[in-house]
Amino acid sequence: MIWLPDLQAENFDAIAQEHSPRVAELVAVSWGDPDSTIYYCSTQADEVFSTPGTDFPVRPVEVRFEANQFLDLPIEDGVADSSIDLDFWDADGEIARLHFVHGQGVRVEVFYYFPDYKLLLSQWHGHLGQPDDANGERFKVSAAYGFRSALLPLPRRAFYTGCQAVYGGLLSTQAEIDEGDCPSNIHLPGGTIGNLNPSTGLPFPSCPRNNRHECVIRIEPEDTPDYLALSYLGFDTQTDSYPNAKLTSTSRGNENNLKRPLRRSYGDRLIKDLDLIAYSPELDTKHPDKGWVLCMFAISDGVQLSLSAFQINNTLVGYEHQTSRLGLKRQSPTWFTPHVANYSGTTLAVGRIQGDFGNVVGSDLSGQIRGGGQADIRVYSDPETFSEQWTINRAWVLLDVERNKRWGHGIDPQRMVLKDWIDLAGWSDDTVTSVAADGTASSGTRTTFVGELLDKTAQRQITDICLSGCFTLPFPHRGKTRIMALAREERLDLCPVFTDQGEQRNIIVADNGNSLLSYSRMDDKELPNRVVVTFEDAEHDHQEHPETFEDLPQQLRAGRAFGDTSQRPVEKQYSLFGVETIGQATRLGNRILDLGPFDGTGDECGLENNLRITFTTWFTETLTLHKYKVIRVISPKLQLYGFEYFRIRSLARKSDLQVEISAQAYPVPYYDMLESEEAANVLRPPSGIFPNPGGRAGDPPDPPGFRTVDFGIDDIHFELT
Amino acid sequence: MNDYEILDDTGFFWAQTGLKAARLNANYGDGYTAGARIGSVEGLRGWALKIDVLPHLNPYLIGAETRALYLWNFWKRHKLEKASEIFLMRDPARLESDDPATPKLYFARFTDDELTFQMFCNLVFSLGGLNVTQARVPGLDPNDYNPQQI
Repeated sequence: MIWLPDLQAENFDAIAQEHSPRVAELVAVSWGDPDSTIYYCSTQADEVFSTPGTDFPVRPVEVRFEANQFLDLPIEDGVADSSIDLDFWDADGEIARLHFVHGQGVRVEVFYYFPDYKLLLSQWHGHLGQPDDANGERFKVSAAYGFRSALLPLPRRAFYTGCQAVYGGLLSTQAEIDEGDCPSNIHLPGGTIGNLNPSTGLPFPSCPRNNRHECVIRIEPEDTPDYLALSYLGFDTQTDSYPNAKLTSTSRGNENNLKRPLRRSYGDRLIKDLDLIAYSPELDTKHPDKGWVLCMFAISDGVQLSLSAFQINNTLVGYEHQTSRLGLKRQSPTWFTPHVANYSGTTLAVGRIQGDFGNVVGSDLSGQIRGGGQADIRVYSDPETFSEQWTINRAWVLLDVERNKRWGHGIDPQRMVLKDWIDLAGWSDDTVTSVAADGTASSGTRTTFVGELLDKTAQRQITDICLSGCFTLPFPHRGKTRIMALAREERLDLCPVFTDQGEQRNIIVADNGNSLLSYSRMDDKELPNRVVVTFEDAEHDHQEHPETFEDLPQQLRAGRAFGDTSQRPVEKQYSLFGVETIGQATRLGNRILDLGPFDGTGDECGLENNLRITFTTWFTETLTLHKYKVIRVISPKLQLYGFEYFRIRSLARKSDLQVEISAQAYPVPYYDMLESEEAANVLRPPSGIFPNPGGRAGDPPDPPGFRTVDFGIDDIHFELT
Repeated sequence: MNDYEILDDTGFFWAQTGLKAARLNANYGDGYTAGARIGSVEGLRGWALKIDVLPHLNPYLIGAETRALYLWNFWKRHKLEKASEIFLMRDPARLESDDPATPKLYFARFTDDELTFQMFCNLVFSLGGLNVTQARVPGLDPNDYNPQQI
């Protein structure tokens, strides 16, 4: 958003109050150098909307779209890709040329321009795709916001040979270099890290990244042996022989057998099924059972706070037989073999156990270890200041996932609103009421994340982290990616109002005069009335633990929907990613049952918000709206259901500037109770109305205590304690 | 600027002068509305051009050409031969002109890209007229035209 001089934020209201404001649409396509950013539109906006005495805010402007048309603009979150179709006039071939030169992935941003308010307002941003249909006259291409590929793995640092760091010499600022793993900055003014190419006397322009020697000649001091290329970010293991008593042992690499990327593990937890990088049988030919096997496991990507309780093949490794590295960049090598690499940025455990390992292969060896949790997570105290530290705050973990360029989703922090994350982290740390299995209320942190990222897509991981934290999914808003808590709306009086009644009406009507406001309710036959959540219980070594939350009256209604009096469970199962306490699981289980996943802003709703509305309004009424925002809708059509407040599910602006809004009921009393000290009144204990006497479903009953009262000849009188 | 030819409209009859506002509207019912102005505040003009004299009367020749031939050749020149189809014309209604004697100039173009001579004759002599639409050229004001400029 660009506020030109002399503008105030309240101009949004002024624009909405003006009957017919002047407006143009500009589509900025940021072609790279030397073509820069060009603003495309359907009219020569810089002339038609010029204001005497004021420079047009952006140039150059080119007319490439059909006259008097705006784009169809879906405004969704960023997990399911939302896309727009751009249909350029291209008889001169210039768009095709630009696309050919700069390729896919060029940033596209759609703006409103209000010349009378000197306001350039971003509405959507995304990235250009490949042309769908280019015929020499028209160049049709789509632009998408969201994941480039639904199959993008996260974490994504795979076990393969070759350095995975981006060569520092290809980056243009120190900040970009600091975000990566290759420190070479000799090409920058004042840069001190790196060597000059002896044949040219200039910095190396590129790096093949295919062996350690290339790394040594670019970064390390002269005569450094290749295995001490400490910044080399690859998993190529060098076979190494070394003396072992009177024999020689030879290490064997196993990285080629590792199919999944390296994990990230957050919080103090037992990490199982470690990735074996290399091993070395150390045989004893006289007493085969007195032999050893030496193993090196990769534990996680990045820095762990601590490591303990290292086991190989379920045998604890003696302290004298183990060593580890916590995953720092340029960490020192272990003593695994004489010429072993350091595996920069990778947490390692090396140890040996005794036994007959004469015929051992990599798949025979397993490892587990207790990790203290990632200790390299950025925690921002303000949008400019951060420190890297240990935390299990779910918001900071999610930012870590979104931001990290080595293994994460790789979004630049500049593309996010960092204040959102600071607010979200504070909200996550709030102390809230939880309910135990026996129904007693207690207090705990609202949401934390203790778990590991492994072998799923980025789309799945981010959705699961958000769902289990009651976060919105990241969504585009005014040129940035934003995220918020699905929190109780503190100032309902400030919510935008939509109505089809009275003088302030702003819901569009059909030709027959009936307002374009319609509603629907989810069928009792399909509305989930039993939610089973699973979480990794910290009290049981992070074993998966199911809990059930259900609503018996709703199950009877489901039965009635089939015309009988049976009790019909409609069950949905959710895995609560990163949740490790029964308190958080209880709140989430209740919330998903009562409000649906993401508070009903997805496809499903819950028992307490079963009303969905759709209406159409004018674009000027939507300038402050975004997905997940709470709005107030007043109409006689809705009075029957008693809902006035709704949470926006989607916004779709049409080419005629009408905006279709879909929203889910926002039950004010429920949110109020949930966030008050009365929360226990709306939270069900797990396992429905039948809490297990031992504590939770699946637990054995408490051992009963006896106290003998008296006894007779053939009877004993006692009481339970 | 002087690359743009001025349509000599002597003896022409402007059957219609129109003005189009680029607007989008929303209807809230019971007469309540909202809207947006999405084009120039001056709107977009359109005209229908007819010939006001008999086809081959010599006193109304333009050069050696009759009006119809002049207009046909003018249309052909701008649609086929010139790099731009845009030409200059005087405001026939004098609506925006301070001095009726010096009418305001507009950039314009013929709306139709396809004509037969028969259809052309029908349009300019008997039917509704040949449609002309206002045009705009980035960076140029049609009233900067100076016939004295070399």
